[in-house]
Amino acid sequence: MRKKSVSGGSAAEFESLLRPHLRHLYQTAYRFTGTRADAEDLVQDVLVKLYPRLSELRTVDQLRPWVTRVLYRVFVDEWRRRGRRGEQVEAVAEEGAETGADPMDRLPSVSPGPEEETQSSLIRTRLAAALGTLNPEQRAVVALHDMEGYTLEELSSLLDCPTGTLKSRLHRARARLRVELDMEPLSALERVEG
Amino acid sequence: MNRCEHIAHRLDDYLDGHLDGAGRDAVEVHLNGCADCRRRLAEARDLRAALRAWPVPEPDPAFLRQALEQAKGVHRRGPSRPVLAAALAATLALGLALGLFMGTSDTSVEPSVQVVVLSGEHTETVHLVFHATRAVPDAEIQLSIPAHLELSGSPGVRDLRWHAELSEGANLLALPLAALHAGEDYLEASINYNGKEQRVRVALRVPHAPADGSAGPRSGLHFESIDPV
Repeated sequence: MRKKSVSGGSAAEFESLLRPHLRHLYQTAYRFTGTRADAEDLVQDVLVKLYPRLSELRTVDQLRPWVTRVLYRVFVDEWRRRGRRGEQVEAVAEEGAETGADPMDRLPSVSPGPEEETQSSLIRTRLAAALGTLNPEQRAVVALHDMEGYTLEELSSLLDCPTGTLKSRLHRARARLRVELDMEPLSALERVEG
Repeated sequence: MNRCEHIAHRLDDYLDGHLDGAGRDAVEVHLNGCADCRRRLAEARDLRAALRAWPVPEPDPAFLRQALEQAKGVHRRGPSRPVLAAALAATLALGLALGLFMGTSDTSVEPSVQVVVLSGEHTETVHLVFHATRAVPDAEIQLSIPAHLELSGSPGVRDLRWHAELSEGANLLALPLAALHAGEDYLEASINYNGKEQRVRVALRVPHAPADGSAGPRSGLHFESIDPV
């Protein structure tokens, strides 16, 4: 099948339309996937899918939510296809941390250190693993709602999904995280689900 | 469902601000008298705080440039002639991350002992083989393309950097290279992981076009570039 082609001038237009949103796409992709490599793969997949849709891109009033929705759909489809779950978690170096250090090296050390710092590091490390156990829809709603700060109403519009469905998904995702983090369940239902 | 369970079930809604005034009051009255539920509330708050504080890196500008070029390149040429696809496909094929660095040195350099001669007439593929002694989850691979060559589909891109997972054993990185002009210079590749680095340099020569056309093309050049440490 012949692929749609875009002229050189339009290629420049594609870049000018998308470039302002690349940082947002990448960082959202990172929140979805948890690793730089997977975030880059995801953004790459999205751009490859968007390029032939330049004429559609031109007509979109608010491009950021539109491309975020595409990112979400590609993530869910691709993650499900790849069967990725419970793996590929990565901590990001804190400011001042040694570049290139193995994330596992940042596990809490047995050597003495500020208690809060150790606790914070422990939470991040365990949280990364816990996030890896969520299914892609749960992971995405946690990323968008609890990390990025979208409201459920905003997400309902963004993802074209009923608020009740998103709320239920978020509730189950948090319950799963609490189980993985050995937190006390908030309800009997969580104990059953866990 | 006892009172604690009833309240605990509503703590998410309480923290999310989804309760009306009466619902909020009921939760707060119970919390005032129940240490267990106050602990559950504190944990739920901790979870939210940890998620909000989740560190997210900035994108690599080189990656963003490459990603745009890749998107355009794929649709210009079709998937059979991938642009950065060599590198990116290798990322997927290499698949999955690193384990080379078992030695004690932080940096090891494999000096180039070979000169690879390219015909300069068409795109030729140079294969770099990275031997990993164990799987590595998130290796950083860097590539520096000499000025007389370009990676097919990525015109003008000299330096590439991306993250990949390396499988235990041989990982193949296929580089489709097109000559811009005659010359000889080094292609440099490095893998970084866990604060250690391995580098390799390969001299790539593109001769001046011979009058008799005797310098035939050599596609599929295979260069075992990095040995396990």
